[in-house]
Amino acid sequence: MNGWIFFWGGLLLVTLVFYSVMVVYVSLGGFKDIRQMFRSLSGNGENKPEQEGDDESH
Amino acid sequence: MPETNFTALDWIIVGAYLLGTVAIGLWVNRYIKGMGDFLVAGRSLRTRLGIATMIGSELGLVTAMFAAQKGFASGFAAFHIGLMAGIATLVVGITGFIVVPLRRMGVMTIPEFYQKRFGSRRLRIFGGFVLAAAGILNMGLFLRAGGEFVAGITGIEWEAVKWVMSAMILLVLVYTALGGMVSVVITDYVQFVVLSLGLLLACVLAVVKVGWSNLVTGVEKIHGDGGFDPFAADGVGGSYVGWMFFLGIISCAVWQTAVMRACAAESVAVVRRMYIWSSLGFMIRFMIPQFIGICALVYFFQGGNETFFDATGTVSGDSSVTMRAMPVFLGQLLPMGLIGLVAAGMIAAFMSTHDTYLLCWASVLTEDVVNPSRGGRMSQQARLLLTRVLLFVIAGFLVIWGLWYELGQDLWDYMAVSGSIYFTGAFAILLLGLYWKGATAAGAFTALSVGLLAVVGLKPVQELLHIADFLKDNEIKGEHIGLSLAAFSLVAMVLVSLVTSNGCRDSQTQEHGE
Repeated sequence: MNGWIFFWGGLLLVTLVFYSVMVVYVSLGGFKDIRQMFRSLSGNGENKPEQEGDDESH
Repeated sequence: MPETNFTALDWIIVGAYLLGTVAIGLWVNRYIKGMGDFLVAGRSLRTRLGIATMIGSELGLVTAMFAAQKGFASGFAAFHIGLMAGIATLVVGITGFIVVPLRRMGVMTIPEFYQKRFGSRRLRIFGGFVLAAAGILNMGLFLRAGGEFVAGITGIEWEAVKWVMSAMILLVLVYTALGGMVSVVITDYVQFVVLSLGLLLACVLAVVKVGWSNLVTGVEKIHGDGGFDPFAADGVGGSYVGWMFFLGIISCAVWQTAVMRACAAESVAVVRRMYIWSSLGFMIRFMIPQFIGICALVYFFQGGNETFFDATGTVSGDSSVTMRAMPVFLGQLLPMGLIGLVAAGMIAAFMSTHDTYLLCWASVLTEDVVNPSRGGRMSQQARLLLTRVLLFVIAGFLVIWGLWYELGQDLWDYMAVSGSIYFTGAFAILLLGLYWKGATAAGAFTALSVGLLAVVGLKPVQELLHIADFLKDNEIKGEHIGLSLAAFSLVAMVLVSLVTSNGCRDSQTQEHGE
């Protein structure tokens, strides 16, 4: 049982830390993406900046 | 009425959030010029916004409620659900399993794929109907779960809760009908930020309040080894863990709401990145609420609360009672102001799940059932109008269904079973349709029809058919029915495809595919 306790405790800690970092990254970057989306929907898509390395664009 | 720290200031925070959301819906309406903008935001989603909206719609209030209920009922062993979901999403992100070929085909809905792949309009209509029916049934108890949360955290009476929930549904309808996917994406983003911060803070406060060592000893006292080991836990076991992994694959790669995000992505590379990053979100969306549920379990057990336990100290078997544990706990744990922020985040989550699902099922009915039935001759304006009307019709059904359906099983299990009516057949069609050239339309019809049998996993259906006792005596549970039917659908589709294959198999695949 101790093995399970350490496993779940460790998993919880690691995911909480990673998730906290991701929330900051996505919150800040997502805001920029929203502005880009509105530009694209307004028909100003030709002014798009670099495509984030999307080498497989359809 | 449960004790709570919820005050007038918290109501103001919640009210301000709701008004802001409607304002967004009104504002983004100017960007909607056609069905593509309305349904998939003009395919303009980029990675970080894609991650936010994907997690935002999946980390909903309903998810939080059923996950917390699982944590309360099973202890740490419930974490296996999040772990399986995270692994499954990561595998899909790395391999591109199902979602990448779907994005390459440029479809907006899964039934649209049926038609493109098999060249059968009737299959698309049938598949669209099954998908929408199972999906609407699946979200049938969202309102109930949302109501339990509002009642628990604010302490208001159930009669008042009904009005609050009805008002919220109306708000969701207004901004979704106006802004479509664009407003859904924006509200998902806001909800992701608010709810993530609120839940992370709630976790820290809960650990401080209850204490880690106290949690471990408390769960051990209540559940024994089964509180930690999912293979030893009551009502879990190996087949349940396998079922959770399968559901993990389904919820990120086959479930229409997640696939819609993949279809709205700017490119295939964005799809992969969205899934790899979101795997953490798919795991955390279960683990954080489950952890709060575990904290609530120990907190109420040690506090001698009789609502959630019977006379012998075992957890109540009434699922509607255990569902209330998390909000009541948060109502007593969080201080004024923060409780309003968490409530706003949760209500935002409730709204964002509803907007995604309502838009999804209404658009499936329009694009895959009604429009193909009329030979695809409906104008864009007529389709937009119909989708908006259907949003209101579905919402009306949900209000009625949510009020009279007797749960009888954990919310998560209800959702898994009702969803499996669609996804057992759809999984077979996607898997074989995308990766096996020999798959035929007749095989696909068979797979969908076999999947319909999953309806027997619902408790009221079992009682109607007088098989509830038989299934209980033989320990046949929802996971056994779901996994068996998924396998049976695959086998049936292969067999029927082999029989009906006629040499000129599916030329449409090459024509419409990549």
